[in-house]
Parts: sequence; structure tokens; C-alpha cells
Amino acid sequence: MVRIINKSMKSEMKWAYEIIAENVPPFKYLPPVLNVLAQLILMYGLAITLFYFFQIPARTVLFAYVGLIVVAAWSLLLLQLAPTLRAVEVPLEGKEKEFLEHNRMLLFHPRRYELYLGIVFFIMITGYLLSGHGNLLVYWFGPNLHPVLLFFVLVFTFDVAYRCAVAVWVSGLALWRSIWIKRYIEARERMEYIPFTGLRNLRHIDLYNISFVLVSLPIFPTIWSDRFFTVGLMLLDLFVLVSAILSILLLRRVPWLPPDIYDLVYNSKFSYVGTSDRHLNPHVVPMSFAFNGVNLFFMTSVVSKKLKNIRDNSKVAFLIDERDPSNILNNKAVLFTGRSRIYGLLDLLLHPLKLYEARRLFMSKYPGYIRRYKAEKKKLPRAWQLTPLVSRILVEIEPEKIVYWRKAEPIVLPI
Amino acid sequence: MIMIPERMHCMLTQSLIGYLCTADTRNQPHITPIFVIYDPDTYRMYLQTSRSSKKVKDITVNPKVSLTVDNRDPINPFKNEGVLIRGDAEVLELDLEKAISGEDDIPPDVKIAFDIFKSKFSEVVSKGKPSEKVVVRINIRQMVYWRGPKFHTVNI
Repeated sequence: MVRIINKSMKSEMKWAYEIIAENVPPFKYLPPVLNVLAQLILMYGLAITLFYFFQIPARTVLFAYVGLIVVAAWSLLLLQLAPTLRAVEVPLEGKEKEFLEHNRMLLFHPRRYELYLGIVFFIMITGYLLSGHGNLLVYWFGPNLHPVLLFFVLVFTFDVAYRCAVAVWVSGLALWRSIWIKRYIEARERMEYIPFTGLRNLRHIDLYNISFVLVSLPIFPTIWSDRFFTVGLMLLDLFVLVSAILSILLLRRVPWLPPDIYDLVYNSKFSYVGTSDRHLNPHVVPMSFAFNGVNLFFMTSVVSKKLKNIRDNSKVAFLIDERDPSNILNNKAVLFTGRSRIYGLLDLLLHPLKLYEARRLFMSKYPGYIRRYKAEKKKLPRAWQLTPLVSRILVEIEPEKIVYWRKAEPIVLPI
Repeated sequence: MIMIPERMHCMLTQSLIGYLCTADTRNQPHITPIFVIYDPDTYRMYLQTSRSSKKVKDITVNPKVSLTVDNRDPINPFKNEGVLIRGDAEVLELDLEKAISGEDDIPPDVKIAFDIFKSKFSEVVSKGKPSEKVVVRINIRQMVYWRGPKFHTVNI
């Protein structure tokens, strides 16, 4: 049985580090960024004193500073991530919602599984350091390590181990969550709601986990001389990275429209794109388009009115519909509204994969059109020639709101 | 006298479904498929819709609209043709309920529009109480006709 979490329980759902940050004076009086900064300054002060007192080599001082910055950055990430994970609104229904609440409860479980994992990591690291294997302690502090210094090394090691544990815990649970959400939603026969916003929020959260890996990179030079630590951190980063990417890819493949509307978007050759200039003049034209399962793409001429409008105002409306020639009321339509993004030459370097993906989608969807354009290229006005990124500009639309209709209303007249 | 190419009239008169684009004060465009009613003598278009619909809300705060009708050729893009309209829309102060009972007069141009409705969409028009419905009139300012890459613009 899944326990339904109420508001008061939600406020108790916190990670050990959050509780420390919120309850230890003077840090508890500070907002997260200043809180972490204050801790960092305190640690720096402590480090300077210790290193001056024990005459530590300059290289180790530098390593310690790098380590402290990384830990501070992780702390900041953790303090940002926790409230986001708690607050994320996922408008899913039924089993999916129950599962997500359960997943969230594990994430912030009162038994603090993340802390236990941190302790396991800590024991592994200290066990290795103190058993005489490896040379890191000697490499950092020379042959005679003073017990006071060792104490602070162990405190710092625990900080690192705890943050690594949180990263593993969060990204592992995220992957598990995405696998099951996909299964649950795919198993639904009817879909009376659109889980688009929920899925997008989850994808954005998973991106946080990738930043954990990026933040960890400066640590590598400080542990490079020890193979055990280097490989260990690599494996950890790899786990977090792979599970975050897999989780995002899985979420991208979750069907988020009712099956018939999905088919409509995938199978329609035409769409209507609505834009509006800075003077609130709307403009609507038919367009060919492509759909990658999440976002919509269209290509337009560099001199077109809609491109000018989008440069003025990135908000667009995108309608796809299907008409039944035998019964005019029997139509189906879906309207996406959202922000658009224009791809330019610079994106060849910045987003080559996106451009390749869009090109592939258009090539497979409109082979006939593209052949004709190529055959008649010389007769065409410049703006219609298919020179990618120069005369034909790629525009991507990220939906924010989706409305769909089935069947038009008959007209009732008073005469 | 404005010269409007025959093909423009033809498309506007014959097309059943058009795509109406409105924008709210936050400048968010919105598109809805509508039944096309075009009066070639006055260059006006009409539609009947719910008072609570998004397009009526948009038109009340921003009367500028755009509307497209088109013929699609799935094989040859050079045969795609369409008409794009820019104009100003107004929600008519016409109480359809009172119009039935004869309490309110229906303006002559709206009567013509209703006649076009009846003849063009005979199979979907029914007589009855159009509750919570309003009539919207679009005064056309500009029409653009295209076929393949060729464009023709007429200002009214």
C-alpha cells in the first residue's frame, strides 16, 4: 500500500544536510546561496589556519581549495534540488500519481536512506585511506599526518561521501521512476488528460543530476595519483550521467497525447502556424511541419512575415486538424501554443544534433516535396530555395498548452 | 472600385473551413477552425460562436484577426493555393434569443450572412435556440492570394 503524503509530512521530508543547514546557527538565518557561501568562507578560514599551523605543501592547499569549492557547489545544488523535487507539480492521475508520490517519499524517506548510503561510501573511502592502500594521504600531507589534520580530512571525506550518495540516490530513483511512468502511461487504454507539463517538469529536474557530474570534474586532478579514487569517481559520474540521460530519453518517449490525437499529429502533412507581431496583428498560414514526439518543427523562408513576427514575439499557435469529407462536423483538431526558437548558422556548432534530427524528420516525411523543390530550384525565387540556415530557417516550438477538439458543434440559427 | 481576382472570391465562397487567428493582450496567438461565411459584396466575413470562447475573449480585447483558407496538394507544393485575410473583428450586439421572438431586429447584412450559412452548410444548420452564442463580423482590410511561390495582395 502506498501512503498518501499530506502537507505536514511533506514539511518533514528533508535530507540530513538540509536539516543541518536550516538548524545550525548562524547559517540557519541565511538564504541558501549565502548559507553555502558562509560555510565555504568558514572552511577556507579553517583550512588557512590549519595549513599555516601544520606547514602543508602549496599544492595540497590548492587541492583543498578546489575540493571545498566543489563541495560548496554540490551543497548549493542539493539545497536547490530538494525543494524543487518536493514542490514539482506532476499532474498525472491514478497509478502514475501514486507511484510518483511513493517515489518521492523514498527520496526523502524519514529513515534517510541517502544518509546510510553516504555512510557506506564514507566507510569504503576511509577504510581504503587508512588501511595503507594507495598513497593519497602521503601524497597530500607527507609521511607524518597529525591526528588533528586527519580528523578534518575525515570530516571533509564525509561531506564528499554524503553528497555523492545523494547524487546516486536521486539519479537512481529518477531512472526507476521514468521506467515505471512510461510503463504505466503506455498501458492506459484511454487518456483523458495530457501529462505533457508533468513530463517536462520531470525532464528538467533530471537535468539537475547532470550538473552534479559537471561540478565533480575539478576533483579529478586532486585524486589523479590514486587509481582507486579516480576509477571510483568515474564510475559514480558515469552512473549519474547515464541514469539521467536514460531517464530523460525515456520520458521523451512517453506518449502524452490521446492515441487518436497522436496519430493526427504524426500523420498530418499540414499545419497552421499562427504568429503575432509587436502591434498585436495576428497572422496565420499553412505550413508543412515535423514532430519529434515532444516538440514541433517547421521551416520557413528568411524573408517571411511569420519569421519577422517570431523575432518580434516568440509566442506561437500551432494547429493540426483532420477533416472528414463526408461529414463536415466530424473533424478533429489539436492546438499547441508555446514559445518558438529560431535556429541560425551558429547552431551548426551549438546544436548540430538538433539540426540533424530536424533534417532527418523532414526528409523522411516529405520526400516528394523535397524532390520537387530540388528539380525546380532554378525557377524559384531565392527565398523559396531550400538552402538550409541561409534561406530556409528552422523554427522549433516547445508546447506549453495543448487543446484538442473532436467533432464541431452544429450551427443553430434563429431563422 | 476594388479589383479582386476571381480566384480569391472563389476560394472564399467555396471553402468550408477556415482558420481564424486571434491574439490576446499578452500577444499569444490562438487558432480555431471555423465555418467560412463570406459576403463578396461587402468584403465581410461572419461566424457564430460561443460567447465564452477564447476567440471572442481575444476579439473583445484585440479586434485584429487573421484568417486563412487553402487548398492543399499533398504531392506538389507548387499547386498549394490559399487566401490570407487580415481584418478587424467585432462581436455584434445582437441578442439571438430576442431575434427569434422578433423582439430584436436582425441587421440586413447579418440576415444575408444567415442565408449564406443556410445554403452553404445546409446539412449542419438547424433551427432552434442559439443560447450563449454570438455573431462575429470581420471587416476585411487586406487579402493575399498565393499559389505556389506566387503572391498577389489586395488592400481594401
